[in-house]
Amino acid sequence: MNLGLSEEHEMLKKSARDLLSQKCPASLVGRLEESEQGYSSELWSEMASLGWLGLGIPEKYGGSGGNILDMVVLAEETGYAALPSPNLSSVATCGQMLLSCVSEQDKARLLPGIASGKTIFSLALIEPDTGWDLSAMATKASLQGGYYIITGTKMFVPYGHVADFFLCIAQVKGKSAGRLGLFLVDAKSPGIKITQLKAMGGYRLCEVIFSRVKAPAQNLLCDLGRDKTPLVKALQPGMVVQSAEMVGGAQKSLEVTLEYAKQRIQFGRPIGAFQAVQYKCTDMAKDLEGCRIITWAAAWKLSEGLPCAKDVAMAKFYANTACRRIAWEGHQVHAAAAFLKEHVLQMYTRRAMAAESNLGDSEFLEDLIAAEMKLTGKAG
Amino acid sequence: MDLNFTEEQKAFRKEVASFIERELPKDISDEDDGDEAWQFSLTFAKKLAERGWLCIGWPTEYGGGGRSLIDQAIFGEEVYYHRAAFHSVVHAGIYFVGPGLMHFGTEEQKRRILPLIAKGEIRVGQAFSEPEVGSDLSSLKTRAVRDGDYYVVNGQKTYQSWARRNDMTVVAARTDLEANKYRGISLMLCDLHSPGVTVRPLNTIDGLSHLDEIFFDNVRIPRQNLIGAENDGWNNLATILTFERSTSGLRVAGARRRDFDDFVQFCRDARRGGKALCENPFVRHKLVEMATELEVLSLLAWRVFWLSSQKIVPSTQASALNLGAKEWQRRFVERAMEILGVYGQLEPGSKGAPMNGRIEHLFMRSFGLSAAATPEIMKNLMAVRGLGLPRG
Repeated sequence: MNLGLSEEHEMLKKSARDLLSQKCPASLVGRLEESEQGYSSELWSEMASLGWLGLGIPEKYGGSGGNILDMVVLAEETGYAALPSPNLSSVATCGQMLLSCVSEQDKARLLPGIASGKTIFSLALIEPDTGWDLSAMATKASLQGGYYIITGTKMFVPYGHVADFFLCIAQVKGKSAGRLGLFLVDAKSPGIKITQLKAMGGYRLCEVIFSRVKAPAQNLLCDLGRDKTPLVKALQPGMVVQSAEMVGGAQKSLEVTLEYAKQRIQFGRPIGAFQAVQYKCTDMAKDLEGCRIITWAAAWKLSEGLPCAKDVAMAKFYANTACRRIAWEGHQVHAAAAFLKEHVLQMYTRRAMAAESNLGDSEFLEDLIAAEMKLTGKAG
Repeated sequence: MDLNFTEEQKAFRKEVASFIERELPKDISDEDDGDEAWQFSLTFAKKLAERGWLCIGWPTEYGGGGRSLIDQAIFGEEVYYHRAAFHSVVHAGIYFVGPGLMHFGTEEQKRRILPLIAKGEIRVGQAFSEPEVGSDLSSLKTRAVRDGDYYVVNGQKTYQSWARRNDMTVVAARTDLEANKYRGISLMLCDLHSPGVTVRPLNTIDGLSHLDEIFFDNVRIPRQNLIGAENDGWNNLATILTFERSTSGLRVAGARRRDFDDFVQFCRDARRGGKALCENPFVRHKLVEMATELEVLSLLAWRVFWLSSQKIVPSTQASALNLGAKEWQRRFVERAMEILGVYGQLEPGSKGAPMNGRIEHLFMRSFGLSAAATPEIMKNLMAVRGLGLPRG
């Protein structure tokens, strides 16, 4: 038993903290938010050269080895730095989806590009009318003369504007009708229209319209079956890494708030000496401790290959509301100060809110947890 | 990170669980405060002790099992989960008074007292709170005056868990009236069977009587029972309270988990309008939230046990656990009462009471959650010691 981090994890954490505090200051994050691309190619290459993008991908596929727990340790730091990058979507979400459900051949073909950062993948899942109700998905893929013809509109596609490939989830028409498939779609295919959405979180999201887009038949990488279970399972690593980014952001929000409470003087003393302010800080710290340990636990179970559907859903479900509470309390302590765009705290607040619905909103997660808890009553 | 228990630990957990299931009579409730239950619990504690389980995480030279704190936590969790009779009476001795003595008691005290606790022969408590002194403990007024080889103690302590079932208690008394209020306090072990000690039960709104008052009227305590140096009791007292907080996780991972599991099962079985209660989206939502929060707390509990087993003082984590546990308990009973609706008001023993009135009982008991340190005091401590905020 060990409910802490290993020495290697501490080292990874420290080196990420050191590097990002130098290379990814809040000023850069602010500038990137205003930029067209939304992230720094230079930093992206540096992350690749450090092996960060290959974490969780076995060496035989060009990765750096390691597991989800390693990715989680790193994600706490990228979240702490509010680092804008396609890491979560390309590496943690798509990379791990590929690793868990495609053929050996496809892994060998696709993963090295992800691990080196040279190829950017993005998951095209949610649609204008689905939210996280995946049963309502309308995008269709029909097999015609050796090609799947994909038609439908996907929303909230992360970094779709720079993606090389989409992993598009669509209903398979034809002989396996009613099943969901995971399709590899070249982003440069004719019939694709990409529009950036204006989203609050500094995490670029796009609408991607697929109009009769052709993908070779072998690009149906995985048959996800008729219910959402296999898809949800494939999304688990992404969910946990998202929770870890939220934990990192919440850690930063707490630190910024504590620092402010210690130095802001009102009525002749630091506001942090007032109990009303102290209690907000202790609530933040309490929520943060909880978020962190449940995220670590879910990541550990996932890394060990243990059953963890409930644990992963609970980690994200808890982070969703706990991190929002942390953001709110931080703002209460800062009062008007963090209402300003120039303040660092609001950067984290926007991210926490956006993260809440990324890779599983609370309603969706509640369904998963309820099913795991067998809240369906006795038969009869 | 590694949440695995060793094969040995898993086997130990199973052994404890099946022993309790076998030995515990169905008609003895964990909160029965009657004499029959008490007699049973005395025997039961000795049986646990004979197996070397009661203080399995203590060093062998003091009568313990010499195993790790992880084993002690496994034992505690199982005992609480199975509602083994009266574990709360022995809790203080095993989890914080005993460990406190191990930290700052004399060798003679350790050898004299600790094996008796480990064998289940005596029960010990702590006597800190007074009628006029709760959160502001350092203002305590109970006096102890030196008289040769004795201290003569006068004063009154209150809200003492199961004092009438205890044999000894750690009294915090003022030994120097002139000193700064933190500097004149001493801790001493008092034999509760001594002349001059009167214990009076208090009745609480949860229908039980487990809190007592203790009156000290010229009680003579031998000097050899002084714990730590004279006038230097404040820090030791704080350490005992820290141990107490660190083990609150046992109740979370054991007792609270059991209450919740039973309630979820009730919601699966009970039918309203032809459907299982748990299928109602309003009920389901609450159950999912409670389950998630309880999972977080159980993990925090184990994080605190593990840190303690590594000799790391779990400061922020223990505070987070303690605060979270109190909040959870309150939210749990409130939500459970909402779910039970009109049935929730029925008391244990009433016709038609769901879960034999367990939720009603827990609901009333939740008003006593602040009895051992209010959440506000916990937050004050956590703000200053854990987060480095300036003192208020």
